[in-house]
Amino acid sequence: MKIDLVDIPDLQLSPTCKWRIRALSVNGKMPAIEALAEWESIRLADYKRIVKVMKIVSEKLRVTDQRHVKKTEKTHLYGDVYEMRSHTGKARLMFFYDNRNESVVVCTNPYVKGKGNQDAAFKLCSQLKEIYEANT
Amino acid sequence: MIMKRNVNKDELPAEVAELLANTPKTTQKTLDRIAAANRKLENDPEFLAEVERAKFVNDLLEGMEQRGVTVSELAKRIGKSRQYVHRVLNEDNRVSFTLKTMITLCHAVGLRYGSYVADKNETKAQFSIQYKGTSPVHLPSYTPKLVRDNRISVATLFNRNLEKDTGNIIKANFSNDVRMPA
Repeated sequence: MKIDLVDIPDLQLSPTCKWRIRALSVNGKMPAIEALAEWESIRLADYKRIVKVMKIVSEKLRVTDQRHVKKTEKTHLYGDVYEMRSHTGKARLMFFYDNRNESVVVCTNPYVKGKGNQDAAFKLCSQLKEIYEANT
Repeated sequence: MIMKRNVNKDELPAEVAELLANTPKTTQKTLDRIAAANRKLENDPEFLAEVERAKFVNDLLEGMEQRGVTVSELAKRIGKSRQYVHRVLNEDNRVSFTLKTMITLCHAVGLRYGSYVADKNETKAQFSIQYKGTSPVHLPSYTPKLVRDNRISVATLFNRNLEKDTGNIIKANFSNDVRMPA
């Protein structure tokens, strides 16, 4: 299994940012990147909101504003996994923080409100986090 | 405490396998498309203003939470209605986010407003340091340009973050070409 992290292409972060925003790649497949590409073409307003949240996340140790970032309520099951929210929109991007080697936010998988299940998306993020940590 | 499974390096949970099966292999074309979209956003003043406004509101909310300032209390302190404060906190477009508004809100919460202007091409550097007998610590990023321009020295960063403990440092790492001061 090949686990990599890729930068969100041309996402410009502030020089004072604390976290580098990256996407998880498993065997060359990047669910977060594919979702961003889809939103950019069919949900542009949501895409902009998620990029906005990425910029906020990169600059704060933790984001307290739940309109932008929400942590799973089932931390006893899924650990510290979060979602970036497009607030009034439907797009959500699951992620976790990794501070082991470099300070990085790892975007894992998408969730679209009204399609699928938020709890399942958090679970997927948690599973991807375990795989990532076991392989890096 | 979360129970951790032992993850076999080649075994994938069914949900992850399904996600990957439904995800195409990411191509350079996809990455280029996102890059183009992000470059466009970086030149969109309206979008960048929204980002700054959201960051401001996040800081304001954090300050209110830390100081126990409620919406009602903030409204009272600035002589406005609760509805107005709610609109500010919801980043409502009907509220004019002038510098004066932002400074007034900060002062009412007990915060100081600060702005930051940088060279458009400035890059981010990572700064890590390792003490004897400990793992590397990753410190907040800083701007190499500021260092190069002598507006802030690496020594200042050391002092700011690590006080007078440099004798115990065994390894310091900079991801960009920034030299340690003599």
